[in-house]
Amino acid sequence: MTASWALLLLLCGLCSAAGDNGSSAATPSSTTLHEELIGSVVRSARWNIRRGGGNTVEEMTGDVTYERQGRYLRADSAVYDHKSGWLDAKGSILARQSLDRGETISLDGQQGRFNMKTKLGQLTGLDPLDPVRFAFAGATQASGTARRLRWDASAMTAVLEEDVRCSGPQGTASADQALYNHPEGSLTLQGRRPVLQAALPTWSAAVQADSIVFLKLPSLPGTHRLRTLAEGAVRGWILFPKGLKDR
Amino acid sequence: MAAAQEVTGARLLIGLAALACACSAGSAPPAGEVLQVMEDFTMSQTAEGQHLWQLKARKADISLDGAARITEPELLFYRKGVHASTARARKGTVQTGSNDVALEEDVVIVAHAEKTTLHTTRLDYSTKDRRFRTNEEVLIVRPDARIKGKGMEADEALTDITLYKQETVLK
Repeated sequence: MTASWALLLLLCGLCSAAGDNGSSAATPSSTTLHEELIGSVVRSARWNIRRGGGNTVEEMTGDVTYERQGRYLRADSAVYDHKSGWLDAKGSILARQSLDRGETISLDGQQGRFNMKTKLGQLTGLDPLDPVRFAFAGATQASGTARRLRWDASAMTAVLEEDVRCSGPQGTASADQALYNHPEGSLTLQGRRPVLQAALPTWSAAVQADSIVFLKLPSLPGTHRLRTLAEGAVRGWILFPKGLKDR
Repeated sequence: MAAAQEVTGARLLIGLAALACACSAGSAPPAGEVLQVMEDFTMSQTAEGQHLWQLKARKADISLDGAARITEPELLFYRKGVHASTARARKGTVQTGSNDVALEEDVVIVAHAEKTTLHTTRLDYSTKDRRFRTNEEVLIVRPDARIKGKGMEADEALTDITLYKQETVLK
């Protein structure tokens, strides 16, 4: 689950980038929205700005893209209402963030919105057959799906909702919800009895419980140490290959 | 909306060459020939007692084809009687029937309230719908951004702008 964990660990950072909110962990708290956006490039086939009645509305259509220092966002169309702070994007939404060591995290969906004032955002898929997809590409690959992603960039929290599935080379996980809390360094799978399956070289396991919590532990840079807690009517098994238990 | 039009020229110069041509031939001068040259040319349009726009030019060459070639034109636009924006260019053309204006070379519009400046090489202004249009490359400069595009339509106060193939660099 290391890669999957890393994926979700970084999800908030990506969402922050998607919302241009400047609240990512690497951003000093004193950095303003404007400073965070300096150097950003936005392109579209058509751009319209309307000012009046104390409000400004910007509408972009046709391959709308945003780029800045390893961040890339695209959508078919986007509307930004300055007064309400809502930025609404539609159609083939893709968010991609490049990380250290050439790793990339990406997120795609069909409808997304982010409020520049409240820092709340949401991304949804078209239907159950076309959910929100997220992926991590680096030394290991991991990916997942959910019907909806909601995030609070101020609180650095995110929630994947409905039919959450996550898979990587070390295992799979499924749940009704995945709650990610960046300040706490925790990821909680809950709802519909989440299942965790792990397949590592030295052992494999499967666990089902009312909730499964991953807690990030202090570790050396570039490494991940996790504590996994399964709570509530826990059922499962651990399999050690032959001979390994005698060592 | 009833609109009134006023044209003034501090000095009205007759295009002698055109007149001479017309007299010698015994007929009207050919279209395109300069009939009159007006210096410190001013033209304005009002509605219900309020300025809609005012055109000033260092010189206007008026020809029989219904167009006036203007030099160093300056167009001042008003919204509810308040000065909203100013457009300037090296030269331009005014169609005497419609009063439509084409601005050419180093066209700049400054919208004061919106803190927006627009640069392009050619801009057409239609008095019928009071909108600017161009197919040329456009640069819009705002305090927080530089916006490039190709092809544009906008109202005279730059409160409603549509730009094509746009690229915005936030600064």
